[in-house]
Amino acid sequence: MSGFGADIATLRASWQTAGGGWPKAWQDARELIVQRRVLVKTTAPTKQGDRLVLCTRLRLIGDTQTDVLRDWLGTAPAKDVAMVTEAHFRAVDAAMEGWNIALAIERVLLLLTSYIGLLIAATDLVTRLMTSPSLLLRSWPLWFGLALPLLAQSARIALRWRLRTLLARA
Amino acid sequence: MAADFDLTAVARNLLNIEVNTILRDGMTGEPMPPAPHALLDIAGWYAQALCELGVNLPAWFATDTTGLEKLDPPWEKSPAWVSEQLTVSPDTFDRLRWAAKWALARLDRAPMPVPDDQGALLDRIVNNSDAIKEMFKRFDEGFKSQFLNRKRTDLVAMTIRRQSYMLQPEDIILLQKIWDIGTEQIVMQTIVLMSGDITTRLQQALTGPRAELLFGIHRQSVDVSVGRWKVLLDAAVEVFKGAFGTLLGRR
Repeated sequence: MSGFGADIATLRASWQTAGGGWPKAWQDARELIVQRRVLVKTTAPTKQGDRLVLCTRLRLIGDTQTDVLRDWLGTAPAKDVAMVTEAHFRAVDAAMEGWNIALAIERVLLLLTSYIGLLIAATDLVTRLMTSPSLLLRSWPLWFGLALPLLAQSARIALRWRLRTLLARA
Repeated sequence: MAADFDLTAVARNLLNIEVNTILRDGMTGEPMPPAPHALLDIAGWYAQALCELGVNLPAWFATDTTGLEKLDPPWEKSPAWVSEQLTVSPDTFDRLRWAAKWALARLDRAPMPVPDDQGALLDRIVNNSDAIKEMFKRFDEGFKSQFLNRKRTDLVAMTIRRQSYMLQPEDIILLQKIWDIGTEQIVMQTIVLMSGDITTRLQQALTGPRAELLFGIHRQSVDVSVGRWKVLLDAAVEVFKGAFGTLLGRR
């Protein structure tokens, strides 16, 4: 599948998930950069009530740390432990998908903005050439259409710079 | 500013992944506090671990730093606490480092029974203290002017603004990892290299019917980490573009 097609497929699939859709994906992606890791916590019933039993940190550098509550592992029924564990790591997997989705959103927006801008410019160019070519240079839709892709690319560069700055805040 | 950061080290870390599983008696999953507080948290945990073993920490904090390597105080059954002497400084971590090194060489003479994993913890204290001491050389003026040599009481009295200082990304990530692990015991560890080599370490005392459940947790953790390795590489390329170019271009 082509790049654009793959991005659309990713966005459609994520829209249909029950995990919170695009806003959650954007939040997960932001957390990966700002916090430099994705953190997923799972609670389960224990003798002392609902407690945090599994906590996974998947760091930007690839390291993963999973903390397991000793008491829960030692006393909960094995079937419950297996079920909670599976749900927990499905959530970890979904949280990591957030970055893919965020990148897909960005690429699609950039592409659409560029095409819309060029379409506006091209339409105005053709119209002006047929009616009043001398006023071409004073046509704001033409300049706006040409400027739109440049603005979108500049926004992308600014976002990258911002991400790198956020990466360094402790 | 952001362009001054050397992200090559961070990018290089992505050439292998480390998956750790830890058993804890309690957890809250809270995020790491600001770096100055995190450094004192780490120093406090390491100091506590050494005191519980019987290391005479006051002696290590009373001596001049030039004499730390040769210091040989006796073990103590109930050593005094040094919380007031812990500061945000390479000096604090230097003292903890030498105290741990000393204890590692004399574990057989400790006054109390020594848990099996104590050697690994002391090694960790030595290595992480060295790493933290190196970090101090890279802290910017904003950090040093506000926090260097401060105690906990000083930090609590201040308002810490994260925008007022910058750390190298590799240092923040390493500090976060050191803080997250603390003095907890890693019961299982798997390291996967990009070359395809895989190494798994298990704690020796891991036996019993519940060990199988723990294996299951660790296996799923490894599966997710390896499965999402590409996502992390993509994220890193987007943010660290220049660093990856440098890294892959070097021989």
